Amino acid sequence: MNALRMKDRPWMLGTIIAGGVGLGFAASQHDFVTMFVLGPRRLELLYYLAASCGIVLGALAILWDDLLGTREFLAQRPVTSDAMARSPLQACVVVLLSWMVIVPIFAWCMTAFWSGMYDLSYGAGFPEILATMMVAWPACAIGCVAAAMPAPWWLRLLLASTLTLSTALLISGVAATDGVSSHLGFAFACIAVAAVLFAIAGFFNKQRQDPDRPWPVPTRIVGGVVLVLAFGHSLTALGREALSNAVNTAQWEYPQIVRLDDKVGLAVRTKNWRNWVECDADHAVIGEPRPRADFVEIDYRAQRMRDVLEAEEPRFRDHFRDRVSLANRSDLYMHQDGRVWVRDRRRHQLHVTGVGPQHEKLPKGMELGYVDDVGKDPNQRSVIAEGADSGRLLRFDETAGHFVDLTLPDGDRFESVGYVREREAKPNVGEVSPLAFLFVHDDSISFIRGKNDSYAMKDGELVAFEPPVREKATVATSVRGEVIGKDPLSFVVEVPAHDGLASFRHEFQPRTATERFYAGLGMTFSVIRPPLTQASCSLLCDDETAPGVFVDRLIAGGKRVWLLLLGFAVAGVGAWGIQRRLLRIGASDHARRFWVVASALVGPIAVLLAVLVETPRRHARPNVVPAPAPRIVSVSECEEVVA
Amino acid sequence: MSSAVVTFDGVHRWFGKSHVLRGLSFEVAPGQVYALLGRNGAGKTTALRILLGFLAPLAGSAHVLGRDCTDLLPEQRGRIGYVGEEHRLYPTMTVQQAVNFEAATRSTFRKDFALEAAKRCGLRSGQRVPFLSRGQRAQLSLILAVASGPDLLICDDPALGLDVVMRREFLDVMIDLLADTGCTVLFSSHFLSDVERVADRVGILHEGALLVDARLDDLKQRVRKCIWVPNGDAKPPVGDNVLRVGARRQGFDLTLLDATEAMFADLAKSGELSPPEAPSLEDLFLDITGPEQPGMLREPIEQFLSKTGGA
Repeated sequence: MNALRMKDRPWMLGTIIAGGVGLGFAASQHDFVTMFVLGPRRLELLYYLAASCGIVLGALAILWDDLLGTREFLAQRPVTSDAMARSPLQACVVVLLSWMVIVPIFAWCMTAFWSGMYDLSYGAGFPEILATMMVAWPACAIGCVAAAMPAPWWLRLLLASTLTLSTALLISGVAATDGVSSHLGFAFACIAVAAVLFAIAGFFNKQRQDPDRPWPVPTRIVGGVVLVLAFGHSLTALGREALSNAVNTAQWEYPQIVRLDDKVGLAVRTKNWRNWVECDADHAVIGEPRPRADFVEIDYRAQRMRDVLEAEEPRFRDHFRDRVSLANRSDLYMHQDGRVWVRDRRRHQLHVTGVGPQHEKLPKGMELGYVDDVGKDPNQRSVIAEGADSGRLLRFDETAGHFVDLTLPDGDRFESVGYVREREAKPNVGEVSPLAFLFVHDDSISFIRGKNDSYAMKDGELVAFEPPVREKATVATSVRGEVIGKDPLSFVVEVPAHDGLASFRHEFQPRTATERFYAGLGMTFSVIRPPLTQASCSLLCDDETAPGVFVDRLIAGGKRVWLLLLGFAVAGVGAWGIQRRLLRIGASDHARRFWVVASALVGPIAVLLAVLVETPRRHARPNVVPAPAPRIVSVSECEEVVA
Repeated sequence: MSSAVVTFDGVHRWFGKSHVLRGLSFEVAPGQVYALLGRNGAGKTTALRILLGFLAPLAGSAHVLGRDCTDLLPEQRGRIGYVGEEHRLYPTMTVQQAVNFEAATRSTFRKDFALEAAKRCGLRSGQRVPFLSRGQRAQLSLILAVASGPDLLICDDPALGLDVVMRREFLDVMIDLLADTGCTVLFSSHFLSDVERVADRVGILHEGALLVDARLDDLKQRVRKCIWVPNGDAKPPVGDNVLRVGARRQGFDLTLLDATEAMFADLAKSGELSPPEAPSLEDLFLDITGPEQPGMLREPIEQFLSKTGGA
């Protein structure tokens, strides 16, 4: 309703201008070429600022009348509650749309101004800016939901926090399945989440709940479900992180399989990590500590629980490096599609370059980098373009101004660029004392690793290069242990016979007090997880490498049924306890049914929510004693009317 | 069913452990100007907020314009004008914009009438709301509430914080705007002299309960105040007719309700009695709500007398 928009104009105008300028500056964090010629990989500052601005916008829109003290003045209008509830949400949409127009234009103008380049044909960064800013939509909806929820302020803040974490995990999971987000996928995920949350905010905004009364049935259904989902998802994710840490720490405490002298056995690090000490099959320490260098670790890949709290800003391109500096105060830029430009920093000019004099595009998948020249001039280095998949290596000829093929000697095939510390490559720098490395020049130098040999650049030519000892040692201990079993706590490792040593087999499980402590901690976190997700994980989750929030690898695939049953028992006790409490405080049948079911399905998280939400019924005092009739009464002048 | 514009029927309301309204019941007839009086914290604002649907009663019910207050529709809201305690208006608006906002949100709002009234009160249309004085803001609030021609005007202590001159001016504007409109008015106030000027009926609220619900002229007829100095050890009168017995250095101040000639004759016989006179509203209010008084609800008069030793 336009009439209601009149009172919202000041904050709408303020947020359009302040948000547009602030986000515009955030979108100008790179130079013009990176932003609009190549297109940025990710816009971290813009992402977080847009999310923050979105939350503030949503909260401001809903709380504007509370801030001004005009809530009741507004509520006295003869306007339907639907129109009243919709009005701030529509205003938010207007502001968000304005940002989507202002910010890209502002960023283009700002970067063009600072870079001194005004070429309208470049606009590669617009999709990234627009897609990144889409996060403001769900964030704004979160602000609206949290501000409109008829609940105490602290519960609203908690809801905003949990919804933020929950939606970030959800959007990140949907949009970035392989680490790189698609623009449309990310935008669609944001819009879908925002639409659901705006609908909930609209519902909440219609409820002007009396704080001294419990939620009516519709509010409890919507509000309760929102709370249970938001808290359930985010606390389950946090609990899953704690569970992972505990299980991985227990595994970290297990001894390492090592080769010592002429046998394979178990050893653990001493507290100062400098020495190792042998241990027996029960993980008990035997023997004296010995220097770490005496042991050769035998690697094995036990199942570990992955982190799940990895919601971060979207990455739209998987460039490793799209800009390198040349010696003559110029920069070389490469687009993901293989186009390359040279930019003179003094003249702000952009020239197209490429492979050979024809300036052809670089093959797809190539990355720009450097190879250090270990010749006479220690500061010299060559700009290269490397393609590990294609095995092709190009070097940028600064004199000719284009790339030329760099062929490895003896028909060797390029594999990767390696790095080694300068002091390792040049033993004459010297190892003085344990603290000396702090004072020794510790730059690394890069070299080219071919299939057969390694090469360093020396005075512009490739010469064979002997990798340092550390590189060789990695190859020497390449015997790996085979892990049998997918459980992260109990598994068997078999090391095959090699180099004249007998095969080795050990069954890992918590044996020492420390290992048992961490394993027990992990199981405790497992028990308090939502029984619903635990049951589905136990029955359906066969792929134990899945990193999902809902995967608990202690019980996945039907393992440790007793742990699952214990979780059900804990949830059952919680449901019974909450039923008793709600009866005691005089809650309605609906409230009791809702929270008992929620506690049985979601476990202790729902029990905690029920305690927070369903407060004692002060309104329901049974002994309402009416006050005595007034002492002085005149006859009523109201007439009786027959209905 | 009653023709009342406003009906409170046994309304109770708590805030936490504080019992603010204790079974409030009264009615306001069409066209009546009803003043709700009471000390700070008596429950006046809570009662009005319940009436406007901003709070729900925890027991009992309240109806306005024939509809339950917890479920008011835009139709009823359009017929109610409201002037809040602090005259809250959008501080981002000018007088003209405030009028435009009202006109846009109320179909019956008379914009020309409002602008003309504002002009008469000395308000310039370009003046911004934050720069209006408290009195000007009160006047503007009243104009905005009245210009839509409401059937019921609810004012929550509208003259609070105004000086004597502004208060008088505000009342004049109110009387002027409402003249011959037939609008029912329910307002709360601390200023009893103002109430005497405009109200038809008063309700005195004390600690959440109504002590008085009477027409103003009825009160003046039925309540009498006198000074009585007893002869010897004569006891002051007790009973339903005695509203208050206040001890004096010599004798008692008596506030009597519906006292008969026979009762005055008895008092005159047992002591010296000043000529009975109708108390002012302020005197009556102090007599029944003052802190040093026995209170009409808390303590029976007999108990009070036994404590004070009778004289």
